[in-house]
Amino acid sequence: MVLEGSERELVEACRRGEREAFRALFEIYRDRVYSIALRYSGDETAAMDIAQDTFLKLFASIHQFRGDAAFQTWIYRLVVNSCFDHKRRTRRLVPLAAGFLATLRASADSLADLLRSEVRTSVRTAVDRLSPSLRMVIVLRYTEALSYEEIATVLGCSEGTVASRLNRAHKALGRRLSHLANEGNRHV
Amino acid sequence: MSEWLELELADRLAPVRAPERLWHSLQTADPLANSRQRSVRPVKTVLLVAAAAAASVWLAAVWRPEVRNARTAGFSANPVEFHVACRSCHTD
Repeated sequence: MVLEGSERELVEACRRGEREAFRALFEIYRDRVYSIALRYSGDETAAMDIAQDTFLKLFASIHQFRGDAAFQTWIYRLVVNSCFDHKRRTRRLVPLAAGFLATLRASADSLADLLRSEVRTSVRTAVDRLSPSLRMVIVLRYTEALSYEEIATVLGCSEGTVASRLNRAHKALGRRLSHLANEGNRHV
Repeated sequence: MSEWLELELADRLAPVRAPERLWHSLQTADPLANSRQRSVRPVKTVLLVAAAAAASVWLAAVWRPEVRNARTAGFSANPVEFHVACRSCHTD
């Protein structure tokens, strides 16, 4: 079955224009949509824009959903497209500058905090520097814990392509974060 | 891939809660209004361009350049008269 019973009813109610159904559907998917947007963009304002754009598209085009794919997959496709569109529309902060600002914002009360903040910033910066297609695969894999098959369905590519992109992303991240890995191993 | 990197990515990219104001922002951004605006804009543009084109054609049909002097007037009307006019003007 593609749609769960309650979700199918919600989609039907949305098609009839029932406002409460929209709200209910929003509550089911809001965290997932926002999480993908935030982890992809690395910026809360951009994530809000992307999430808003995704839900507006969802509500405007829900009558086009035919039910031959999982509804969740359909929403994932919408948010992925919104992420890529947002990337095209706006220029991002230089990752290093974003990292620097994040470090300034981070609390540095203790050495441990400082180290954690550095690791967080370094990982964020390394992910930001990945190409959009590699970054999206990483986000879908680690934020939403999707399988290779699910990622392939969302992105409209083969599982082999997903595996290849993940492998390239891991290698790039491994290279950029190798200094942290060495430090981490020393501290452990 | 190292286990360390796998754990870091899972930790740093973990899902988060969406802000409560997201629903409010959706309500203020009326998708119907946006779609109406998008559909009206091209019609407006087409009408403005068509009006400008029609005005240009009308002006080109109605407007005649004024005669600037006797030389151009005579030359355009009758070469013989122009010659006479020219003689009357020039006293060489």
